[in-house]
Amino acid sequence: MQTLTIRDRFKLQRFTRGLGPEHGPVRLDRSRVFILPTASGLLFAGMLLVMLFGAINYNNSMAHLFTFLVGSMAMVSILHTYRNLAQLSFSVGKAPPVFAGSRAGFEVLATNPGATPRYLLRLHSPGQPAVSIDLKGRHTGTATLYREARQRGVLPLGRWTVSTRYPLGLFRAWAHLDLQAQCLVYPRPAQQRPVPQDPAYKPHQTGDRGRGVDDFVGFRPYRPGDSPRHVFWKAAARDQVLLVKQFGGDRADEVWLDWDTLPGMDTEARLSQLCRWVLDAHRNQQAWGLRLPGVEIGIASGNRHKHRCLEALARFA
Amino acid sequence: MPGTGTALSTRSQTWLLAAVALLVLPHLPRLPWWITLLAFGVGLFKLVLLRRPYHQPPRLLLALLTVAASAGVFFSYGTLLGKQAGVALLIVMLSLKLLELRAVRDGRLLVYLGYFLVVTNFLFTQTIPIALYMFVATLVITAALSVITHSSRERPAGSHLRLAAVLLAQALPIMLVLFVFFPRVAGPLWGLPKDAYAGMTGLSDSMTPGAISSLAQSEATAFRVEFFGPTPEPAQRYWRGPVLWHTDGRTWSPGRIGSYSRQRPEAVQNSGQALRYAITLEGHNKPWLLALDLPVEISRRALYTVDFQWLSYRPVRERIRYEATSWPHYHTGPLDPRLRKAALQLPEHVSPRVQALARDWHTRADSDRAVVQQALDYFHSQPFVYTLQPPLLGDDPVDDFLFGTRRGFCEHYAAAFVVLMRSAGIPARVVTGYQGGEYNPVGDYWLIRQADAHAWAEVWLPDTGWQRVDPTAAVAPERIEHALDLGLQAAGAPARFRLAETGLLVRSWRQLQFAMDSVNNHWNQWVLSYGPQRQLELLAALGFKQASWREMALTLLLLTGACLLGVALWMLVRTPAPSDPVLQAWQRFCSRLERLGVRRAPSEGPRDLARRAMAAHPEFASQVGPITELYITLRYGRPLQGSHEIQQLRQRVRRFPERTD
Repeated sequence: MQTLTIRDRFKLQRFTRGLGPEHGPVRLDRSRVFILPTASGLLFAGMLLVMLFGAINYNNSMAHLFTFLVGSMAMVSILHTYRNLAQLSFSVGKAPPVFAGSRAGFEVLATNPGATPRYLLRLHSPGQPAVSIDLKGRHTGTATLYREARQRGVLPLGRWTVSTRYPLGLFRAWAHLDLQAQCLVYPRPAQQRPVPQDPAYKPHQTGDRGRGVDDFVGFRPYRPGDSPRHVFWKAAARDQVLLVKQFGGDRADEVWLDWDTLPGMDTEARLSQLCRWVLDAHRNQQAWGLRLPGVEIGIASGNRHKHRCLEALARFA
Repeated sequence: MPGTGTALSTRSQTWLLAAVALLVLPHLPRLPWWITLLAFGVGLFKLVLLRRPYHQPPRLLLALLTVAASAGVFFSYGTLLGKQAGVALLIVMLSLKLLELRAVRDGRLLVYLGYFLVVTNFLFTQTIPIALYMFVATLVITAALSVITHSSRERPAGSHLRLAAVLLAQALPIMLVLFVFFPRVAGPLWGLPKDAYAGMTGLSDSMTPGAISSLAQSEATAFRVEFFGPTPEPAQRYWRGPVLWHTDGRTWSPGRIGSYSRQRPEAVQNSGQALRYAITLEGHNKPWLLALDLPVEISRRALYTVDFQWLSYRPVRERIRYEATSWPHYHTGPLDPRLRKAALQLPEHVSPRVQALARDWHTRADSDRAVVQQALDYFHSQPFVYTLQPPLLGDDPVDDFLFGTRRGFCEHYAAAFVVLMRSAGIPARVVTGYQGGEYNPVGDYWLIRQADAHAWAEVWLPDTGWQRVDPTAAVAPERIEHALDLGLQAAGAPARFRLAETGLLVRSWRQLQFAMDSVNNHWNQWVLSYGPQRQLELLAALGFKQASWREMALTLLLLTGACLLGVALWMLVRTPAPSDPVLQAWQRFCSRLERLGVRRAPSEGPRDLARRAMAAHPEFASQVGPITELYITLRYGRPLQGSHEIQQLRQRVRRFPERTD
């Protein structure tokens, strides 16, 4: 927890925007929580004033007493509003990568260290619909904050706000938070376009006889360890021979996706195209490699490889 | 959390309906029948709507209804302003608003108006039961506000009521501080509507015997008296009110001479013991400050008139309390010629029979005092009847009463007596006020009711000055000794008086009444009549002599702040920050390491941290090691750990860092 100098304490920026990015988890202490009346609270104050004038005008003791009661209750509710935020601690969880043009979701973890439940916590990042959660005593809850991922690259969560109008909606307490959280934004996939059949393209040496799941290739005798699902049971019933269906045909092509095959385009368009090809190659179960200026990722396939390539595209500078 | 534009849940609407019903109920008896009907109709319709929300009334219909109801209020009261019409309008609007609850915004507005309605109720009645009822109503409407705020959540009804109860309970001390110290201003701040003081009863400033055939018999309290020291004899319990000098034969009024000219209280000479007492006077919308005959001192800024009344500079519109001193035996000295003339004024026409009677007494008696005695004997010996429901009197009321009906109450006797005295050349006047009172043994004070209102006469005699004469006492001595029993008066029949009851049940019942009135008296003294005057007295008692506005504001601020701080501490103590003692100790350890320059990285585990700390500060290694190991065992080790280990960890952390060389 950092301490603030007096000078820092009174900066208007702290009030409107918060302290700037910091490492989580952050606990909401006195210096972070602000409180102001809501619009409805101001209306309430106006009504109290009218009540007070009425009480004075009619010299009415009970009217004084009840006006003071209701007013004191509003004052006390400030403490409840503050208490509802105080001491909560926030940290960020996962932020799965997204493609540019969609919304990036950041998981936020809110921990209530005390026994008192917290109600109506509203987490809100600018320009996005708010998320409202309750937290039981000594519990951690999660909420997902979104941001528009407009550009590929690394998207920080940025400043967001946790606020509450508990208990009566007369006051709103809030704290601005800016936790270090990043979401990887892949380039927006471009239009479908064939992969250039340049010398980089070559069929697999072993042809199509490998193991696979796509095409039926033929039968072979059963060997212990084969999956019972692949046993050709009809033949087993007829001929008393265990045969196993053999599959193959996973296209074992290898392809290089190369920056240099896309001359004459600007950087982002090239990256978008490469992104599309990576996705296509992955969908077609090809093995591929990626070449960018200064970066080369060797031939491989699979999910992890895909994300590695996409990350390289996202982080390309 | 919904914005204020979000739709209001059915649950919130049900709460609002209940709260509004609770708030409107105590107002109903004061409202015209059609508003009661409207309120009930709307309530029932709303109940149906809650089950079948698709029957929402169209907005146009609601708008028309609103206009029609406002017009109705206008026709019922002749205005839309003022206390009664205003409250009626508020209730009509509140009821109709129930049918148009769409957004959270509508619900909140309804609650705010509801708080307002709570307060308006006190303009009509401020009794203890109503105060308690309104407290409950405030609780419910606050819970309704909580329900609206939590519109997006399903929480049990009890939790909202509990929340409201906690808020109100915590608000009580602050409310008390504000009530006592908030600078009170004597209202009104601006002109009050005409009906502001409607319903205040009290003495009138004129008297017309025979115009009404029955006396207003009200059990309402006129004032309460606490005596410091001796109490007056029953025959001396005359509470002086307006003095009536002028008569046109039928109606008596103060005239031009009396009430509004000042004199100095020193003009009165005392003989005998002074009586000191405090009076709590109910508001009666007239200036006179009732006091025991004959008042000479009063603890308020007031005017002392030539006929010995204390008059407030403004009509008494709220309950006030003042201390006064009276002399039951007095001598008022010589009579100013101007006053003598006024005290001998007679109506243009006095019947020959009346004149003859007075002349006869005058010639037969050797002194004015003897004339007075003859008049009293006359009332006593002739067949006069004391009744609260006398027949109406004709064109010459005095003549008609003296020689015709011979039935009447105090006003008749006082008026006839004064006319007779003046006819005999003795200066006389009518004094109205109260007579008697009931002692409350529980609260040790006297209660004087409106039904104790009385009229008597005063004559001026050369040797004693003005002297009180009560002709009613000559006819019905019991009237002076006992209060009237209002339950037992029959038309034209002699009045019945309240005598000592002997039955156990009756006595217990009266005891209970005394106790209740005593509680009411304290309520009146300390709560209801707490105004600018009482506040000054209380502040003076607390040591604020001549408290300035600045001092008051500062005190108010400090005390309110102290109360809030108390509530805050209470709330925070009840929610200890990190409750896991192991974690707490570890966090403390980490912050102490930080002071030594070893800051834990967010991802750093305890062992790595310990290694770094020991490298940086080998002198503390013997402490860092065991603390870390203890923490790891307690936190990640076997789940069951005794408090002994926890204690040990906390002790070690508390001592850290400690040089052990």
